[in-house]
Amino acid sequence: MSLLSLRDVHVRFNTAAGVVRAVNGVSLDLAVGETLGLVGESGCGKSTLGKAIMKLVPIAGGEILVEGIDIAPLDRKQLTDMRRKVQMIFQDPYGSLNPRSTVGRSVAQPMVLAGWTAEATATRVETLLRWVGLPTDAKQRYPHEFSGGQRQRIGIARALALSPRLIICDEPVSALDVSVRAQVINLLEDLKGEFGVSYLFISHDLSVVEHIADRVAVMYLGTLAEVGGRDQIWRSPQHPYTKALLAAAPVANPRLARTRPRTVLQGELPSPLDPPAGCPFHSRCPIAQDRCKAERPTLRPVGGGALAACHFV
Amino acid sequence: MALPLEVVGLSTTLFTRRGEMKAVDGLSLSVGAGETVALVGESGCGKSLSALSIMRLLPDPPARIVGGEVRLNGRDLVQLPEEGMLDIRGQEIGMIFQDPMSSLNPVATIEKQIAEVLMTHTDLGRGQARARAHELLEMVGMPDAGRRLDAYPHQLSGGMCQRVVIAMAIACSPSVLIADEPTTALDVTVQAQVLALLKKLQADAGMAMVFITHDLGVVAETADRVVVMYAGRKVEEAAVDDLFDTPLHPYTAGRLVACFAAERG
Repeated sequence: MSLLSLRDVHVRFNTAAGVVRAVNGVSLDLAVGETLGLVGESGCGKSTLGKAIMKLVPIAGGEILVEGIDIAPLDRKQLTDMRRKVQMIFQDPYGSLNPRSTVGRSVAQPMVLAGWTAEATATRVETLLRWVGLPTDAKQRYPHEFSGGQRQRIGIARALALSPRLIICDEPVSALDVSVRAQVINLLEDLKGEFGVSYLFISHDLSVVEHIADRVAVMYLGTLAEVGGRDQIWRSPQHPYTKALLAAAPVANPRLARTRPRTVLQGELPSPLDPPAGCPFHSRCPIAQDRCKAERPTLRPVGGGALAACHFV
Repeated sequence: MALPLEVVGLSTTLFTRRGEMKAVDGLSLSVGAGETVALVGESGCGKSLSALSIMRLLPDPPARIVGGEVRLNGRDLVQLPEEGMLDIRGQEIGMIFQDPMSSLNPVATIEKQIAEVLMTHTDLGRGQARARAHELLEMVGMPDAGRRLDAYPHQLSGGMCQRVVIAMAIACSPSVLIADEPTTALDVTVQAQVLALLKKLQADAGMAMVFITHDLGVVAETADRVVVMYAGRKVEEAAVDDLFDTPLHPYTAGRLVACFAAERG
């Protein structure tokens, strides 16, 4: 059984300008102990999908199963149990901690809500802070006294508090400097080895995903363009969007940068208010044909265990 | 002939209640016409403060340039009165900021913001400035440029806003362009578009460019030479190939290793 199963998930937002189809039929599985990278450009719906899994935004169709249990009909009490299993780390380590709460209180909150005794909570907070590499006196201090990387560690400690099975990491290192980024990524990997937690790792930074993910899902305009093993995707991307995305990433090698062939993807992500008919990528696709304007491709096997949604691969 | 930009021993100190901080400490660099020099280093190392010092955009107090020269086409900007700087900024030296959304005026149309640069520095009238603004938007690859003239920044995406900022920076064909993390806030696909655009504009006009970034991938893609900063000082300067082949300073080497570790896994 998959730890997390998404079956044709839809999320819609009603706005003054019309209905935004933020997530438009996504099916995906995440196995126990696996790190799944979810990549795509801003506005492709990857964060919305993460929030839908946490039940922070309602879904308009489909099913989200956590350990086989559909989360849609859960009541408040059952939802608390579910959230014990699935936790989230947010992008902005400044905005996701209460500035008026000490670090100790923020990290203790999950245990307080779960009804732990004060003594057990205090011990747990100390253990958690030690795991994420913060000094124990951190618990009496306030978020503003910490650097961005340290604050992200506090967020990780809070997410780990009740030993979750799955952590949804929504751009956890995007706001951090490169040298600090590596430390936080290493911490996440160490914790995975130690506690067997799985990650859904949402990021627009391909180099980070290449480093941490076992499998990768590429999202475009609310749908999945390609899903496959990390090495498979990097070595032989099949979907034209995956190819363009990988080609756009700068390479830290000046000679290679000058000589490698480069197709710069033209235009921008179309508005999800008015997505193109047929294949969502056809308006920017280098190999689009008439069929792509009419018929939406579905995910199908393209070799190497990967799936891609394209008529012509 | 004088180089477009020559910075010699530039020092900027922040005078705060908690003491003095040497934010830029004796920085020297020079940029030739058509050349791109990348200024790299991690957050807080003084790259942006160096750029703002060159542009003389830092508020005094707390910041003051305490020494050195910034020679723009041979003329020292540090000694120039503020009125003189008004003529130079936007005219001889342009700047692109990191966050395109917040570097545009949210309550003015795109046309008005580009036209303001043109009308301040040239004799163009309103109508001519509008026509030129249209041309500039097309030059920076703005989709549907004519219609965007009357748009407000919130109606555009981050990538489009950055194109507007670039159009403003190059409006008067400056000889020097300072780009402070111009693609950090953008997606990789849009980043690739903006980097290609900057390279093209530079090749066409022969601008000298100072490119501030913390991304060594972007350095490899854009720079001819690299200046590495650490704690307000220049710790290494090298041609881009040499820097990646044989980094001399331990900090640069560490940085490259961190970067490759993140890339290669």
